Amino acid sequence: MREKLKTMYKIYRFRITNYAILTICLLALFLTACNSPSNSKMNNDNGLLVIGTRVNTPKGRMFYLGAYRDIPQKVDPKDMLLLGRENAIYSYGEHPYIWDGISAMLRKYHVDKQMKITATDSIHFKSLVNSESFGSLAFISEQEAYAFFLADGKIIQFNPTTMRVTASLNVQPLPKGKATEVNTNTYYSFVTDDHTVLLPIGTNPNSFAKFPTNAQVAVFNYKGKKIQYTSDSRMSLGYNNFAVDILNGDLYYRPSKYIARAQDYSPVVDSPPTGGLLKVQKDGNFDTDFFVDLQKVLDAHRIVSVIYIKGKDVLVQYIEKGWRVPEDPGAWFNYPTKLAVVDLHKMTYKDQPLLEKYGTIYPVGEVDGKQYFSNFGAQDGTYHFLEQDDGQIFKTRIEALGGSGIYIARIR
Amino acid sequence: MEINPDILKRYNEHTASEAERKAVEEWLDDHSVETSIIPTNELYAMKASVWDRVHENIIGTNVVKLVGTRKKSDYLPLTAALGLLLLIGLICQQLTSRDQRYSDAIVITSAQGDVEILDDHCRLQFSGYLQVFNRSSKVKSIECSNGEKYTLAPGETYYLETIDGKHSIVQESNLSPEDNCSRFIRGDVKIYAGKAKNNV
Repeated sequence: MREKLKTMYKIYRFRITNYAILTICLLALFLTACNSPSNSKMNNDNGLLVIGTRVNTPKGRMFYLGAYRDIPQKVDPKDMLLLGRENAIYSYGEHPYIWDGISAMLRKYHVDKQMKITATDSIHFKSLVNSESFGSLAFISEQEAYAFFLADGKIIQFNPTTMRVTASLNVQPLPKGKATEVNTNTYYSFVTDDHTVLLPIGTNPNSFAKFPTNAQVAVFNYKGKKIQYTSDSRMSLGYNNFAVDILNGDLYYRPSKYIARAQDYSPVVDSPPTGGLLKVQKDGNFDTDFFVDLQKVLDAHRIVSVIYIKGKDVLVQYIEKGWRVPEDPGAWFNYPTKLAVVDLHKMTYKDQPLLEKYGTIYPVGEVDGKQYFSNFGAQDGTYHFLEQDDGQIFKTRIEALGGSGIYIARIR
Repeated sequence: MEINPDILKRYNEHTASEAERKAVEEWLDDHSVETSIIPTNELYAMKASVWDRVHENIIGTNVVKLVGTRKKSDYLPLTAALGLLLLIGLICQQLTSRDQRYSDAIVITSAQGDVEILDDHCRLQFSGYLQVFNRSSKVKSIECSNGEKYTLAPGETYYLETIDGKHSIVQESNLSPEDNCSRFIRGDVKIYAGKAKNNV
């Protein structure tokens, strides 16, 4: 037997050697391919962006998060991480943080050099608070951040590095009681250099006769751990209602379509305007010297939204005067809108018909000092990430089908 | 020892002496230029014939042995593995077809969670603010208890609201994603439908 094997080896040694070499070559090729950089996933660490989208899928509209070396021309959910159907996306330092409204969980993610996004840690809020009243996060430092649940009078302080809860603060609840339709917004909080977090308060009225008739902001001093609510009776309480001046970071209290609709169906005739613009100071107080009634300047039926403010220029989405209010309040949101740039110095405006194709436009983040916006409801079904551009107002950076842009930020 | 056809014949027939066998194997392994009196081409032919025979003997013997030693029990693990694979396939198919059925549902989300309705039309009584998603690829409809009837486009999400006691429906594509309307969901819903699945 030994002799036979010896003979067999003599016969096949040449072939065995050849096959061994071939196997080593194929193995080397395979390992190289596994580690080789592709267009979207490069093996270096110079700069990294995260982009969040909400995409139509057979299971409904789902949130996705992707990591990119540079702003891509297209975003495709196939290359992104599926987050879920009720999420809010944030980032601080080098990490994305995702709020999941269904599980009441805040997850911290890591993006590795191959741009793979992985959840590394989480905080479960269900046992701490009534998670339905969640109203945004505010990051102060690598060790200090806050999650707001103001409708229930709770603020949870946590360490974003270790993802451990460090304090549960009981504060004065929102003055409008515990009604869930009055709350701070899921997406917006503004940390000022005054040790203050400003949170816009908004409402989705459940009675057209009783919508709140003042503007309101939650002001949290994170040094003193105190909250106060500032009000201004020159405007009504909208929803989702801050806009930032691109040039200097000044904050403005802006109109909301929800409250504009309420005003169209309200029996109350002397309520304050919904289509104005107020300025909010860094300490959370309203600037008593500033108020512009955009509805009057544009001679509009209603102001739907202020998309951005850049110095004296304000990009406004509005409904033209003469629009017939539908009997069914549900049909109100089918309004035909126009966009115009209002000059706050001259109190004049210039319509922007080229932007009407985008449908609703809203801010989604900032990258390298450039403001980004996205759109939803365009007739051709496309959505974009639009970069604010002085020459043409918006420059398309990303175009995709069947969804909407939600978030963009640089994390490295 | 000089290798000649007679020695090779004996080697192939396994009748060669130990010395002859050794000499043949050394000769086979010798790649130096041949110095035999036998013509080179004839020598190569002889060598090839011996190799062929050796090859034939070894492979033939092994093949026969392999086939001969197989028992029925050897196939048991293979049969079990194939059976298991088939079973897993069947289960997966069942689950997929179930998902397919539920993917045709209308999904209504209230404060109590999700309810999936497989009927193309259903009646419901509700309070507060609901999310309604037509997960199917066909047009479906819902009817509120006060007689208001709404058509649901395939794949579209809607919000059913109650303001001042009256219901209305808002198509999500008319809203901004930043509004995050699902956070307004509150209240309860009662469904009057033939086929419903509660996912609370």
